[in-house]
Amino acid sequence: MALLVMDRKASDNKYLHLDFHSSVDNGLRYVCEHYGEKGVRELLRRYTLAYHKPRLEDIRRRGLTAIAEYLKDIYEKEDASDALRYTLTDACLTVETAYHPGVRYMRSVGETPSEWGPLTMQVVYGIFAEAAGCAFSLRSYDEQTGAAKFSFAKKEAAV
Amino acid sequence: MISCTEFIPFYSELFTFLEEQDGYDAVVRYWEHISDTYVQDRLGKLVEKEGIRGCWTYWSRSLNEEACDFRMTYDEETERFTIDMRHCPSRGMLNELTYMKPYHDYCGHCAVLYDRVLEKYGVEGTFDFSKVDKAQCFSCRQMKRPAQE
Repeated sequence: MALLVMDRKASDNKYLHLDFHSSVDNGLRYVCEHYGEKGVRELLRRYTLAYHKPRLEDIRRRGLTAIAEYLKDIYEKEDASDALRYTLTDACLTVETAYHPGVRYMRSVGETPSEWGPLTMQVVYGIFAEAAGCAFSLRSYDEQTGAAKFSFAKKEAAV
Repeated sequence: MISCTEFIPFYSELFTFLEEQDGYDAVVRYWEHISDTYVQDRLGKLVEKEGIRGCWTYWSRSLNEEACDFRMTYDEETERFTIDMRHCPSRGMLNELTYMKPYHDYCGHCAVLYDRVLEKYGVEGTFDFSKVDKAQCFSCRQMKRPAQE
């Protein structure tokens, strides 16, 4: 009979628990079932204003550059840098993602992502856009892969 | 997108939201729902197949992916499984986000999510959550023993 022991330091591993994508999705699904789409929007709004508070201040200061840097950083953390392409000008940040890391993961383990991917982007990035004095536009979203095209455009530049 | 690396503050806000809507019971009902629908299919299936050693299999993956600082043991003879969490990155993240108010019973989800499942297989858990302010906790799971006369 053996005594199994596993001893790890935080630095032994990268922080990347992809199951948490499923957990976000399960949370949104549950809120919709009990509080409707209004509840989903409200939860996403509260989360964004609370968690991203320093980021929103940064976006107010530095505008679209801060949003672009955030997206680059988060896709790197997800080991999904290959999915992200963007073009940044003074007036517009145009983004194209080849896949959503969470959608890719959930499908890889046989789960069906909820319908809330596009709304999540619209609420979270909509608040980012507002902080930058921009309008957010989700031009396309592929439910199978989570691939998306979206932009943040200065309101005076938006046509 | 909400990144999986941003899940913890989302979870905390979700608990706060549920409690504001319908009280603490609503939060517990959510934990029970996730336990029954998500954890059962993962931890439950492992314990069903491997016995309490399924706990070792389950947490071997998740604690490494969550980059925890921990010591985990499984004694095959006594069927005793322990996790000494020296630093939980989830709780640690909440503690560090000083501009956010973490849900007051954030760590409460752990005992409900997992042990609601484990109890079905005769596994009982004991916990020490007295140091969650330092992102530390201790848990012990073992097979229930018949009460001695």
